[in-house]
Amino acid sequence: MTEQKPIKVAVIGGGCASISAAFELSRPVHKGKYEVTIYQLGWRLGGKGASGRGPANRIEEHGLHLWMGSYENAFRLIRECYAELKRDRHKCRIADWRDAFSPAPFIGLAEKSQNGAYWNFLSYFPPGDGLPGDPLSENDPFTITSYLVRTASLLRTLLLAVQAGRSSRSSTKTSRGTSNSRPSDQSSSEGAEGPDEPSKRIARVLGLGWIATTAALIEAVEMLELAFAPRSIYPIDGIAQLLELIAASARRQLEAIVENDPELLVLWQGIDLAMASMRGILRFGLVSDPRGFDAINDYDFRDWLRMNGASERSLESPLIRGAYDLVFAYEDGDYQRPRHGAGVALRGALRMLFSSRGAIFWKMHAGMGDTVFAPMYEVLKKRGVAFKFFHRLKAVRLADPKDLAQGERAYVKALEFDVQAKAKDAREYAPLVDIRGLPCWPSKPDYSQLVDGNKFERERRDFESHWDRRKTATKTLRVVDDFDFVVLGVGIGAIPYVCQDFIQRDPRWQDMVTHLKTVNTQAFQIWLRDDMEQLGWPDPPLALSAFVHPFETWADMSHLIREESWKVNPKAIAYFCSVLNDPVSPRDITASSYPKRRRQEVQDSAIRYLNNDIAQLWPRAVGQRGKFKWDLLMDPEEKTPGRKTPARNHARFESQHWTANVNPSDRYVLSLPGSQKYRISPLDNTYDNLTIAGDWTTCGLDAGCVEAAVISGRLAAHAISSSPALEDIVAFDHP
Amino acid sequence: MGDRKRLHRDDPTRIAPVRNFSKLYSRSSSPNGTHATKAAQPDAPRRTTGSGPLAEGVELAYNVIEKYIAEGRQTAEGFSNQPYVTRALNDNLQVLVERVLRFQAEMLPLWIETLATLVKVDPAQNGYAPSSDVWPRSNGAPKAETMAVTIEVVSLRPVQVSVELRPNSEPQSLVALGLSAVDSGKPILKDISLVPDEIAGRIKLRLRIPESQPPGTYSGVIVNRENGETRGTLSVRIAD
Repeated sequence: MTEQKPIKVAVIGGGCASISAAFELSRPVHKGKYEVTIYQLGWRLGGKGASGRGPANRIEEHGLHLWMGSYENAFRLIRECYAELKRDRHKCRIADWRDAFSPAPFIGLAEKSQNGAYWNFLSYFPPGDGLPGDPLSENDPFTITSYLVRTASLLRTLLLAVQAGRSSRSSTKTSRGTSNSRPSDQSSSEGAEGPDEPSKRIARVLGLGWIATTAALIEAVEMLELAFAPRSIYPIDGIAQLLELIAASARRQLEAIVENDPELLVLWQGIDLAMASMRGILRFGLVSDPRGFDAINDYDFRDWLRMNGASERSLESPLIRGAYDLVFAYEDGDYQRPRHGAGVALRGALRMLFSSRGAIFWKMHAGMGDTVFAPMYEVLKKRGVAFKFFHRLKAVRLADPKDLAQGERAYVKALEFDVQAKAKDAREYAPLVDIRGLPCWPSKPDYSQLVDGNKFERERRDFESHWDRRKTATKTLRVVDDFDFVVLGVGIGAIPYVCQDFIQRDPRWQDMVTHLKTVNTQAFQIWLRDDMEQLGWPDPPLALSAFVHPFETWADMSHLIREESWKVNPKAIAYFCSVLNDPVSPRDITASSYPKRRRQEVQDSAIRYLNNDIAQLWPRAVGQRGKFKWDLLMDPEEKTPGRKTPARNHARFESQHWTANVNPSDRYVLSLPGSQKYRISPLDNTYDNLTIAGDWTTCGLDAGCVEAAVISGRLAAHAISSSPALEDIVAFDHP
Repeated sequence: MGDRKRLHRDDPTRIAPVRNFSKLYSRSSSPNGTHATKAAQPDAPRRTTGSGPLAEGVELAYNVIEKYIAEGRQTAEGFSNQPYVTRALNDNLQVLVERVLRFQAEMLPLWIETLATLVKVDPAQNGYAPSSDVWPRSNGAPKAETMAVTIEVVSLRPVQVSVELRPNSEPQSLVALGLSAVDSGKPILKDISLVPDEIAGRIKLRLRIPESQPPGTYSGVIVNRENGETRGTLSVRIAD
């Protein structure tokens, strides 16, 4: 690469991976060596993280987005972005990354009680040291040894929590029963015991005669922590034996006692799973296996835990269900087929629990598009990155093998696009809108900027739909003339449609698209007249999972109210999401009516959910007959506050936001057992001028999430520019 | 295409993450490369019902821990039958917990050490195939597999030194990290150096015990400073 002229890089797609790659390649340190152009379908960046502003400037997302405190690469990226942007705090309310993100330390898990009602187990995780994206301390947290030490510590904390009913220092929990939907029954919730009654709790525990047992186990676990300490001289075999000993004793002594205490039962299940994980790490030799946790990726996580002694009850616990819900780990969207590679799951769980900083989750103070992709767009623009919106990739064409010189590697010779729309007067499309000083993405394109914009609006052209193929022109980019390198950052679901040359010629790509399965997702958002307390939810704002399928994951997003522009503000905002099953017949997908039909399904499911299930969370959101009070929903189009609107009953749901994410590129990549080996690395150079980027690549985490996408984007940049150094990509080299 | 030529990517130094960078509990990986293709299998069950020192040790350990758990439970049950008020409860509970913890603090290290020794005795029963890279055995392993060490100690008190070094360690690259006592309140023993001995193939361990160092047993690891790999262990017992 001694060419003096700028090296032209075509980045295809505008999701996290593509943006990360562009951010790395356009760094000032490269001194303009790379001339980056991003080609984007439709009018906005973001991929699966795209959001838009709709009526009343309300935020409309593809789903529920929370960042984990362990997203070191993603936070570094966004922190650098805001630092470089230097927004004026007096003019823009989100001027710094801390304005954009705030800690979300509460996690909720819903558990079904014996009478069929749900109750909620809430955990509070106090902030870890530092903030995500800070420089790492000398003690690398991403080693198996570190995880073992921390798991032993967690085990001790859980035992302490069992012993005393609440944790002593490092974690606290509360529980709240919602076994009856009527507000008057709230005070009689099962298992609820105020934290102000420790002596009562201890008396009860002591009355059971097992305090000494727990204390003994705690001490044993403390010894385990010593044994795992970095300079321990205890042999691994002895530690494994000790662990088995503790597990067997704990099970015998504790399981019967917690049987009838739902909150203690969840804690016990946490202990059981932690011990099974530690035992598995030791038994499977993961500490020294050169493949790290990948060595167990052929097992499903639950099967692997079962092999290592976890009880069936623990495997059905909300802890496990919540973990599967978090990553949509249901093959074909079928809740009867929960499957998640054990290595990927274990890595993700350990990173989430033990390397999170600031908080276990961070929530955004506006849409993900507004907080992440708008500032990224602005920074990249300032750096000289070009954006080509309304470019739908049709095909990546490989050079004919007959044309390759001896020893020459295969390469991309052309990129074929449909141009969906053109900006007037050959100007560049300006994608952002100003919402009270904050640059944001709109939910619809700005038709006024487009040639034939009025016509497109009348025709309701859906520029983001896989099924709407209308175009105004075609464009072909040719190697050397138009690009030197390609960063292919589309979703894995789109690969079969745009990379037929690869799939037909390359068995590895065939395997990749065959074995790396994806799922549809669905989501809805509602804006409410009553606040959460009025709805019967007295606990802090949180994200809760393991609830009723579908929409088992719910988050209180009421903090976004101030960001929107309602005439009369709602008092609460709630987001729900889950997988969306695949149709029985793949042929259904080819029908042009498919996306509309799926969207109708989501609407119907959401209405059923609100009518039948939401009372378990919000007992006061239902009326006398136990059905959802539809007048709680706020319609942004209502002209007069308080006036009765034409829409009544569940028809009011029409005014809310919901989505069926069924576009191939929107499908979420799974980490099914045995599938990890079919991933391809962005560093792979089988194709001389192409690198891939996305959470579907081999990127260290190998799981569908923002952090994986960012790592992958950085790897793609490294593949082209040798920068950043692989050692600087946090936790890429991870067990 | 004008005067421009098609550009090529440099060959990558690697394409996959390094997964195995924790070498603390180094145990040999499969020398024949089976790791690359075969899913990991659990090691053979440790708790055997057969005879032999390992099985006996494990049974003994189980008996020990069961015994003290049972004792603690019995004590608690007895205590719970007594009338109490909250304040008395908390005070007595503290006494009870302290007693149980003290008992275990004394027993568990002994148990672990006993078990560790037993595990080292018979690797065949431990489910691991022997290899050239395993830890040196304190009992039953050929002496030729450990490196000879000359020990120089400066101390006003009697000191017992135990050192194990893996074969083929490079003397000039070895460094002993500070030695810690199980009691975390005791200061770390730091004045240790490892240097090549004048006699070829030997290593000289120099150790100075400060007068203020509390008596007790201090342990730590010897690592290769170049790559961080653990090469051995060092244990020092300082008499009263």
